[in-house]
Amino acid sequence: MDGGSGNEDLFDGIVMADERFRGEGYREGFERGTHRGLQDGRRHGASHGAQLSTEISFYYGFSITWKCILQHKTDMKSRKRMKALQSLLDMIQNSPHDDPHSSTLQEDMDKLRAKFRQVCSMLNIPTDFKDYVRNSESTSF
Amino acid sequence: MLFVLYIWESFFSLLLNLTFTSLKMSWVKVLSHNGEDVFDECADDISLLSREWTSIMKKRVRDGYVDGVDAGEEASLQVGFKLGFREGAAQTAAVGRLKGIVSALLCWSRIQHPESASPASVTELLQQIAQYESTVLDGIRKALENPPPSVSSVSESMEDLEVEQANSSCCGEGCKETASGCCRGGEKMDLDAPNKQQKSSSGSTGCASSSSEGLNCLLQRCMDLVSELGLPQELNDHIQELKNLK
Amino acid sequence: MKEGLFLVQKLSAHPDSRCWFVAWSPSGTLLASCGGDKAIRIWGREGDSWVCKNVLQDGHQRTVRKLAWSPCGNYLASASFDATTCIWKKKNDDFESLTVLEGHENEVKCVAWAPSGNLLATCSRDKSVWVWEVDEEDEYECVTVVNSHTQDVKHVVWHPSQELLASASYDNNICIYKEEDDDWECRATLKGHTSTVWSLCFDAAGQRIASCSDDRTVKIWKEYPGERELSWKCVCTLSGYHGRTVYDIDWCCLTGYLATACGDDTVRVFKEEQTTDPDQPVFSLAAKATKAHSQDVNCISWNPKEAGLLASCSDDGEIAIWSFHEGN
Repeated sequence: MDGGSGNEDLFDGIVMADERFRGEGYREGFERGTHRGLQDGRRHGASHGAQLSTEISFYYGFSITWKCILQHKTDMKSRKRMKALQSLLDMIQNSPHDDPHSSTLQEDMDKLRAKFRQVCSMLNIPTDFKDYVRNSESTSF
Repeated sequence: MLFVLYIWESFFSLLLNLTFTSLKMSWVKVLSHNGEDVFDECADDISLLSREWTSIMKKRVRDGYVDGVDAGEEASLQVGFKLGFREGAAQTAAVGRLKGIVSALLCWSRIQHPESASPASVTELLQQIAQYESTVLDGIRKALENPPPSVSSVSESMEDLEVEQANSSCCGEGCKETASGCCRGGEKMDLDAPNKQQKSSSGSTGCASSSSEGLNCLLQRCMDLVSELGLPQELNDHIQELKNLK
Repeated sequence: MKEGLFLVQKLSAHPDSRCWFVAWSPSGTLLASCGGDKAIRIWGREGDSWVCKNVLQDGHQRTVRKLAWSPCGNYLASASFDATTCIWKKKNDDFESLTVLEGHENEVKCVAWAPSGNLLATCSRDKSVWVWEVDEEDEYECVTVVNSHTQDVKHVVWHPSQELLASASYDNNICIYKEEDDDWECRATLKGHTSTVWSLCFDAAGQRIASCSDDRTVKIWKEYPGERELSWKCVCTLSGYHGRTVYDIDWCCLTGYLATACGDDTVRVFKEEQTTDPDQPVFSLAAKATKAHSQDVNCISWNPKEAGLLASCSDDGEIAIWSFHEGN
């Protein structure tokens, strides 16, 4: 009986040694994988974040400028334009664009782009300008 | 005594890797009945087995390593993405807004004076801003296409691993100690790497100081333009704000 | 009288080109057509026959895809592949170009006037639907751009009495929009067709929608009042009748007959069985004109005032005027 339990211990030793080697490799790999994932993710994230921010920031700068230009005009048309501009600015400020995993990011961006097109139409911004914008704002997510 | 322990370990591990249960049983029998005699009789076999053990253990460690890399990557990719997303967004926010502002000025001046050509001061400034922006974006893109060498390909890492394994098997005894020492070394490397990367990425987007000077210069020119065009001071407040956005 | 579709007249409307669309004026006295020749033609009755009264040219640089009369009948809107929508104003017996609506990135596929006449909807291959507001000075201003479809938007149509808009797309879906807080939002997406939805129309009461598709079926959708979300369900699918893509569908607001235009060159008329469960309507084929045209039938339209008068047009460049008689 004693010999039997001794064998069990040996087996445990074998199993443990094997697990240990595997575990050591795993731990080391995990460290490196974590580092690599972090860096890879960071670079990809930076690329996407920069692209998206370029577009959103453009809309913001554009709208804020037109708002300053139109702010003291009281005619109906200017007031309607101001309203659309304000709604575009609100959309930018109210949606969380800094979270790439937000489930509504794509939807928010679609709405933002649509609003920007409406604003351009209301301001009678010529088509060639929009071409310029479109070329530089072709973010797809 | 240490040597004996080492050999014993090697046997156990080898046995396990052979995974022939019956064989294992017979070996265990031999070991428990004959004790040290085995070593004298099978000295050559033992050195052979020892070598085999080393290679099998290397494979063991490597298998664990590969699984670990996958798991580590999976666990951290999203975190890294989120982090980078914010960093990237912050890098282009100011110049993006500035481009929007000057584009609006261009549109406005075109609508105000549909007959005359757009003022060169506006179009030139817009061009320079667009150029600045694409430099920033190119820098980020380059960092993406040519990642720093520390985290390049799996094969390279595997070679590193071989070296490390060779070391740890050389150390021989107390694998646990050695291995955790390796891990610590790895950790240290990991800590160094982000710094290295940050340096290289900011380096590739152009000299950091001159770059922010460049933006400040563009901001100033934009503010001059706003005054020149007789537009509300409030707009300049918004431009001024961009200095803090950097 | 015998039941069936009888040809009244054929008009060579857009020779050597395609005739894409025909639209009856609200009074039913004029028929407007458009085509690949970039022209719009206005047809009126003289004695027993239909003759061309006007040709509207130089409004567009490319194919004119669809037309819409304003509810008052004094304006005509034309949607073109040149990315613009033209508004024409009727002056005595002539039409003049009033304004051009720009904004879509590419081909405008359809235009529709809301029942109030104050709103106009356009849709485009650029996947967006735009709503324009018309003020007293005939100025048009975009009030919304909606991107609810993932593909080319083929058709837009307004509810007959409410400010409710529906669109059909290459993405196989139908979207229903309503205004909310000054913005138009897609409030329901009707999924069921397995290929491009080419056209759709409301019934006279606006409680049901008939849609037609490249999947060779016609679907009837019914509105079920919901809490906040609009709820539309498919209550009937007409399959097995059409040999090819169904390009257009029109629900007669006078008689309730459904007419379809199909890529198999045939015009069909369907009748709804009277004694059925409203949640399970049944339609049967009442008449069909095979070889109605020598090529694809692109459009079908019931005259809004004269029951049974039907117009169709085709890739062969022709318009056909039909008289539909129901049996006893």
